[in-house]
Amino acid sequence: MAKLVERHTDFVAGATNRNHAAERMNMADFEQLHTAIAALPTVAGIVPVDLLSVPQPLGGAIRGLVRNKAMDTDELAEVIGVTPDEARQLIDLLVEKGYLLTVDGDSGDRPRFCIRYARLQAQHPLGSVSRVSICLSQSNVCCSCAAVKHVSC
Amino acid sequence: MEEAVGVVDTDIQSPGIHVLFGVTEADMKHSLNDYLWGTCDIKSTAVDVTQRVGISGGGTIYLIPSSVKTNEIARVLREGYDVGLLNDGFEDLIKQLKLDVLLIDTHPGLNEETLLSIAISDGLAIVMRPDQQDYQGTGVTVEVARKLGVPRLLLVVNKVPKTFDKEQVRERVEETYAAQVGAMLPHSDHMMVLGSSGLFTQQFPDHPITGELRQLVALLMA
Repeated sequence: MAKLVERHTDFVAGATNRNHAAERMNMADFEQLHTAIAALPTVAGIVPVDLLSVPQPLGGAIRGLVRNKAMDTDELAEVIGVTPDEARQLIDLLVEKGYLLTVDGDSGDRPRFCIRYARLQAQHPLGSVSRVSICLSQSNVCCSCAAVKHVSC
Repeated sequence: MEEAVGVVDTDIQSPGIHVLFGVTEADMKHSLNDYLWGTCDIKSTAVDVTQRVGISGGGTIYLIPSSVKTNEIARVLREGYDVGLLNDGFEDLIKQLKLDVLLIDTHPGLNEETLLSIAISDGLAIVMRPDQQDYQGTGVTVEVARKLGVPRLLLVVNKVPKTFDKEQVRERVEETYAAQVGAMLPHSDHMMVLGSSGLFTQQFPDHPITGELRQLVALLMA
């Protein structure tokens, strides 16, 4: 059984050190990252499994937000390896896409950002067999969620 | 050491760690499930188990149990919960109980609670047995942990048969996963006889397994 130990530490310092691969990103890489984020679907928050599919180097920033709860533009810029202006563009896009939320800053007027979490949907380890059999009786529409059949149905 | 330690059972689907601390359903005024449904704050789910397990010397252990009631387990599976609340709860526990360490016990496989726990942890110890089935499952967990950027990853090889060459097993595991083995726990009849009726380290303070666990803690806390 996996056992996890969490110690209360100052994440930002740790994250910054770990991600100091954060050499400044060149313009082409920034454009590529911006395009990748723009192509993400709009969601109403994320769940932990989504952390596995966030494009790098944004993954480090998202994990930083999971651990640190909230970071400002400068901190995120440092972790991602972009300028604060570029970071702001990415953050605005992520807020628009439903991945981040703006929270009140502790330090003056500087806005801070945190992960927008989604509600974890119901898991169906029980009753999955009956759901499958019901789905099979329909054409291609799931009777439970009224959507086109998908794997989880 | 006078540490304050919290132990959270996030194996909501099949909770079990409360048994080690002698906590029964009747002792659970509130559980993690209640917190996730917004019916109590996280601090009120904590049970001080220090005396129960016979810890002396100033340290404190709190257990945050998951509900063992079938209908409450089913409700979580049926209705889901706010993941952000679980993450906030971990943070609040550390602050409100003034914890030095928060130990998160997870489901053996990968699920959302496990992924969140890995993502926020400073250290991860993956327990595995030296058999082919576990080798594969452990590989997946190690890969996920690396992707989530866990700062300190350790492997715990459990139930190592006495006929095995310990060092050979250690080398093989470390080479396979490119990760450090934090402890090699030999198969033990004492552990089997104890049968989760208490903390092994308290019952057998001089046993080799206890020594290995102390070494594991030292590595995680380093």
